[in-house]
Amino acid sequence: MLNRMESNWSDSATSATARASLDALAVDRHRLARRAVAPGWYYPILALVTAWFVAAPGIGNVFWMFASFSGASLLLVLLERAYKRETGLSTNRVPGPRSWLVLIGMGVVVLTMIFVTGLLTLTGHQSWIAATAAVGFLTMYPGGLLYDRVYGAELQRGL
Amino acid sequence: MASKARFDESIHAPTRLRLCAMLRPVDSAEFSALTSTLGVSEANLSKTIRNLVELGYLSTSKHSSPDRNDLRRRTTVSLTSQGRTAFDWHLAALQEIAASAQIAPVPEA
Repeated sequence: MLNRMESNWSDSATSATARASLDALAVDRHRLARRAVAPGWYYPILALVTAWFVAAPGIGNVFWMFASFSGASLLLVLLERAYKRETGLSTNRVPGPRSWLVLIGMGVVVLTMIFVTGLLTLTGHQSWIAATAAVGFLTMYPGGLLYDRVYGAELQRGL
Repeated sequence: MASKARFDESIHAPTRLRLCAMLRPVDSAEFSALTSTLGVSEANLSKTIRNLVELGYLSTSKHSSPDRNDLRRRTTVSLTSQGRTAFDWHLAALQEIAASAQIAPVPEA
């Protein structure tokens, strides 16, 4: 294998070729970012499933609560499969720190809402569970769209 | 992104490089998604994938699809860890080469 690091690095033809290659990769990344954007139905459904997760502790009965978690988990798997079939991509890698920040932020809010729902159930304030479920929904729907934008931007900056 | 720079001749050909760059940020991509996104022919992409698999840079898997009513199966392609490293080092080398031209002194007339 030829290691051209040891050859003339400032050769103008090589530099032009390198720039041309990088430009071509940047164009491809732009296309990839567009392809990776979730279909329009994806985040509304994900938000509904998230609201379901958040509201599940409100059921009170442990068996039905875990049955509910299982049902929601199954829906998440089906949703992920549908995304793969639609885009042809499996994108579990997070391209940069801002994407991570958005993901962690959404995760923290959803987990907090699940915890709050549990507390509301234990203290007899079930009427507020609709509010925690709504926060879960609103976190995932606009939050997911924000994630797509940040993901796309970081994907293109990653070169 | 790895900081080590190493020019790898085996992935510098345009289709090979673009394919590796396309696969680097994802876990895997389907063959059909790659042909349409890269804008290359199926024959060209098949040959490129085969060569990179032989080098140990790519792996492929085939699975049946409920979308197809024939017996053909979908092909999924992904970079191996060796491929990711090679691409990261090659990309760093390209960036260094491109940057070195930008700071090179203008030769006297």
